[in-house]
Amino acid sequence: MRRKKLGFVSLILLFSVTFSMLGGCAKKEEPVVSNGEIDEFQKFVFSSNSEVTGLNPLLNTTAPDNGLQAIILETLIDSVADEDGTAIIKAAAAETWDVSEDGLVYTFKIRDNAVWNDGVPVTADDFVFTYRMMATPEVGSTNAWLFDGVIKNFGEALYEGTKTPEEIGVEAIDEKTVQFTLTKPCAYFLDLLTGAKPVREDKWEEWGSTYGSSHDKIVMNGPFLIDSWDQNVQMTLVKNEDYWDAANVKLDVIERKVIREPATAVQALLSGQIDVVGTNDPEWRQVIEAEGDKFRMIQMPDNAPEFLGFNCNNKYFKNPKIRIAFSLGFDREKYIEDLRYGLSEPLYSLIPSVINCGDMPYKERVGGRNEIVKELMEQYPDPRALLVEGLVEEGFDPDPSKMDVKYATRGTAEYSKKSAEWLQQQYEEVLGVSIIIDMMEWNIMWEKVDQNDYDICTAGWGPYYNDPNALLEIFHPTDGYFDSTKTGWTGPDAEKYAELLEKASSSTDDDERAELFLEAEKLLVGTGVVAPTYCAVSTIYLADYVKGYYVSPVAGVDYTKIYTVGRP
Amino acid sequence: MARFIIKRTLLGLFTLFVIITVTFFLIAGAPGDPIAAKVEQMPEKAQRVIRAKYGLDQPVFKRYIIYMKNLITTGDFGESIIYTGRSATDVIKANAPISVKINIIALLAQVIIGVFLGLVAALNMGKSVDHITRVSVVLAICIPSFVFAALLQYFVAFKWRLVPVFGWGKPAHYVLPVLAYALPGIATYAKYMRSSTLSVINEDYIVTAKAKGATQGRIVRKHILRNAMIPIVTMLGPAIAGIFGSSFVIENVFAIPGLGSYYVNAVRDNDYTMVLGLTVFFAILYVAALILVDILYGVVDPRIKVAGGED
Repeated sequence: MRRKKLGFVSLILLFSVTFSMLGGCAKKEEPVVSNGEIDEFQKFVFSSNSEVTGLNPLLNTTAPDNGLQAIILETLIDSVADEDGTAIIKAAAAETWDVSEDGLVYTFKIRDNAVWNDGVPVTADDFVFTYRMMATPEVGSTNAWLFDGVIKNFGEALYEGTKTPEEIGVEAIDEKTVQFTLTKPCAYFLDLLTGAKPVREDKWEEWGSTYGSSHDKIVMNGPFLIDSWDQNVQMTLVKNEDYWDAANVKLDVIERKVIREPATAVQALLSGQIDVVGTNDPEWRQVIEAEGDKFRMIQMPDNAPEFLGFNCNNKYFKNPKIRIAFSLGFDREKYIEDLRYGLSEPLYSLIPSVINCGDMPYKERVGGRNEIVKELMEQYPDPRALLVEGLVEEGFDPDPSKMDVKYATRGTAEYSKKSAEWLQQQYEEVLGVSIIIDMMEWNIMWEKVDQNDYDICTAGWGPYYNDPNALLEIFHPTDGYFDSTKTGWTGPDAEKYAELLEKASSSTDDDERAELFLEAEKLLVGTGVVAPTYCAVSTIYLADYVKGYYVSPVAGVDYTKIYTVGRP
Repeated sequence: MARFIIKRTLLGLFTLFVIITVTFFLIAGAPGDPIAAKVEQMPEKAQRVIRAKYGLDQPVFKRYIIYMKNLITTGDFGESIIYTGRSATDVIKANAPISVKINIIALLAQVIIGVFLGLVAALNMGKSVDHITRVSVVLAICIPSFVFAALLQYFVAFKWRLVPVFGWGKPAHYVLPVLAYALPGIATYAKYMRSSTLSVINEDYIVTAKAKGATQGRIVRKHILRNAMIPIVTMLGPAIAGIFGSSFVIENVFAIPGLGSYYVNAVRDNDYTMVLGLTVFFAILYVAALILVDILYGVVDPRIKVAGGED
């Protein structure tokens, strides 16, 4: 008897679970009416290959997190993509701002009608609190380090404990005025500010560590609010009617889907389930382009350089000639043809062409003189001879094939493998060196770099703000991410490099800064400490009924500008 | 029976303890750490601040003691390092039901269709039904489920527009993932059912039943099915435990928010608390399912007496 009962109970269990899932799934799509011009119901659907890990702007700072938070949280000022793909700084929660003559004091006036979604006004204290939390070590804010050495007393409070977070250079002058005091002039300070989204003190205390872990545990002040969040599937955002500029926001609804598989995303675009997709895959591009003018193509150069790093502590790479030979030992344009479907910018400078120095691209400001690798190519037409010269100098066998050099891959995916083999073949052909490919997961590679336990590594870097300094400072021998313990780069060149960067950072003249950056780059790239390789170009396809969608590699999408005309 | 269950439960608890300990030290000893994933680009001093926040500046053994104490006293797996403010328990609560729904439907389809096909093939041994089943079974076992998933998506969803390409929430969204999950299982169950039926068919008691004039239907139901089901029940245990987990690849293809992708990502990012939480969760299910199967054996086959049983 007991046996039968067991079987029966488990059957009921099975069925009740099965049936409960059938209920509660039917959800009506909103009707879409087109009146010939701008659609009555304004909806925009996009997808991302990763989910949002959380909404706490101080702790959740992956690229997808940042992108989403920029829609729901408004900073003092914002940097958004303009029609031509450039970045523009626009007034956001702050209506106006002043910079003192010495470039050390920034004062922001917050709008009177800026409010949080629960009706509480946005005040200067909210921003003061946000920055104080960032400067509190126990909070462990992941983007706080950007303000170290920029805002007065910030690093002292965060790292040294010699000051308290209350003493940092961020103050509320009155309810609606917030003032920042800097340690030195900072040409890219406004750009930095766009990354620090506000949190509110009362809720921060109330929710504690769960702040931002779900959409009802966050206060928002941006143009859109999260209506529902099914993690890993979809987030639905609706227009914030209380937003100060709500009259100029056209979309009613934004849907953010999570699609990890690129092929799925393309098929979703073609079948009308999403409005925009990025793909560089030539086969999918062909399929999309075969649809004719249903989709518009946007090509966007990236701002994150890829480069090879040569460990300057290595027995070979301590010699600049050997490093330069390896930097010249492969064809950048062929790399892009062979491995990137011809879609990338070959890099002869560490600074991609979209990066600004002041109000114009760095490359333009120095008149293209930053293409240091090209100069090296002219200077040393035969990299192999240069390599042999270096080998002799260091007392090695002049036969390059006897070299023992390992290449650490950044991950074990197909692309890492292919590019490693490509490089192996190039070095074999050009230099006569057989490098050994050491396949490893990316986090292991970073750990090896940390411990200076590598010969050649491959890395990329997405700059946190739009200035050459954001890329050059990572190689600062004492303060940079790739400091001399990682790169092994020491000596007079490295010291001079640090000096040049410090000089540039205390200047407010963009021409002078550009020249100093160029000098610094000549030391870094010109002696082969790093070999810039390429900078990706993204191809984006957009449904033609979507208007006002602009992208830039150095600024976010402005969702307040998007609208649709004639969505089917 | 009660003594058996108590004994197995205690053994299960010990197994869990070993699993947690081994997993803890394995993941702590693995190269890279969760902070590396999160702060890849930060200068060293910034990384130190964040490492201290999550207690990662402590020696491994001390971290183990703290973790175990917390787990035993509060039953809490701890807060994820990547998904801040959320614990493994939250992620399991939110995502396990999704895997469960798909997998239960798929499992039912697998067992029912698989057993039926296997039985029919065996009873018609050597006839064309048998050949067709056998060939399809071999094919279905050989095609990896993700290939099948991609094919289904391309043709059924994209080319013929019968169901959505991806998504979650509507009944139509279940069709493709369930098919992709069920196919290899159907084939496996059919294969096992066919061979176990064949071995049962020639037993003396079947001949006896026939000699006594039992109808074909009665023989199949009463004599063949029950005996031939034993290997299926063995396979069912892990399969039931598996309904909470799911294939990372199929989830990715159809953008289904199951537990699989969380598990894989947690391991990749070395998100210690998440990996441990999910591992313990799966381990509990697995141990429980194995105990359940032992009990079920007795139900299917009264000849099997569980160890320690009094009767």
